[in-house]
Amino acid sequence: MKDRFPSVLVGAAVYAVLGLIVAVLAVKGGQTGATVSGLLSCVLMLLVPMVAVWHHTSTNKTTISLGAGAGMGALSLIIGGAIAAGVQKVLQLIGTLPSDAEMMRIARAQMVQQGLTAEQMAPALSMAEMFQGPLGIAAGLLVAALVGAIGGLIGAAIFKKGSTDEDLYG
Amino acid sequence: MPTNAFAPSLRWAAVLLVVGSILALAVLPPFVGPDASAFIRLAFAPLCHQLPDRSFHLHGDTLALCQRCTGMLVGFFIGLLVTPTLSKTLLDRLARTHPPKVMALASVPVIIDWSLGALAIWANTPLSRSATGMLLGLAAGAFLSLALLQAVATQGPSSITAAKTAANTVAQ
Repeated sequence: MKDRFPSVLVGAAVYAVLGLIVAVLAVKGGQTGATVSGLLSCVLMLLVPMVAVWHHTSTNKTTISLGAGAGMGALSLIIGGAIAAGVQKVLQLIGTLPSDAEMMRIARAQMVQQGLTAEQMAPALSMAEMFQGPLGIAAGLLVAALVGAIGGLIGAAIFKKGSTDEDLYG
Repeated sequence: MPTNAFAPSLRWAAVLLVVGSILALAVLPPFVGPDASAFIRLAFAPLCHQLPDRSFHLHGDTLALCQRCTGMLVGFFIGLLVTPTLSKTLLDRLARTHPPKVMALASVPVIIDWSLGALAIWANTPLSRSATGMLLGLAAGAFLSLALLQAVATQGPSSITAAKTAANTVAQ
């Protein structure tokens, strides 16, 4: 069995770098940046696991099982997400990105802009505050693992480098 | 050597269940209290921009995903569900395609729809956003379902029958 970890790291690196760009765009890119980052965040989470699987199957000229693809996808997003989150914290500390408190003010302003009432805003803001702590990290890792596994499954299903049996469905 | 002939079809059912659960969660916010609704939205936030003017509304509230992401997820679920019920001829045809090319083709409408909107050349609509997303999701779901069937097929003919029976039961 070929070592899959280098490909997982490639996916993680892509996610960490592009994830950071998306995060910076979201807060510094104005309305256009926010829209573009919204689209990219979704695309990234689905594409990165596929990139990891594609890299492994292309480099080793092999086909991997769906389970292996799911594992690779989940790991690439978890590792990449953890790296991106760490770098984001550093950027917050040196003032390049807004602090957590400032992010809450931005979130509140966006909710006001979207026309939410005070009653609607209260639970959303309290949840957002909770998600900035350990609960947010745990939830983020869970979502990354789940979405990464699905992306990896799709990657393993479409990037096959081995031979296929033509009459499998009798 | 196969150790459990029915296991791959259970795997297909498990994937369908997980995707169906995610879809159900995405639709849930309008039907639950404000705390649960906010929690679900935050859980989906890393995945989608959730802009209210680009999301479907139910009961006066938005879903946890935008129209395009909802379309993708619905298409993915349908692709997973329906593919095992296709005839042998259609499955053979699908197996003979080049999946990366088909996926690239299926993503073209999404790219065109989004790009024209972003460049203010054409204002995309809820229908165009959800339909283009659904097409891409459908292709992904079909290929994943096919791969799950192929995993069954490599285990022997009896397990193929078991998987197709399971697929037909779920589809009904």
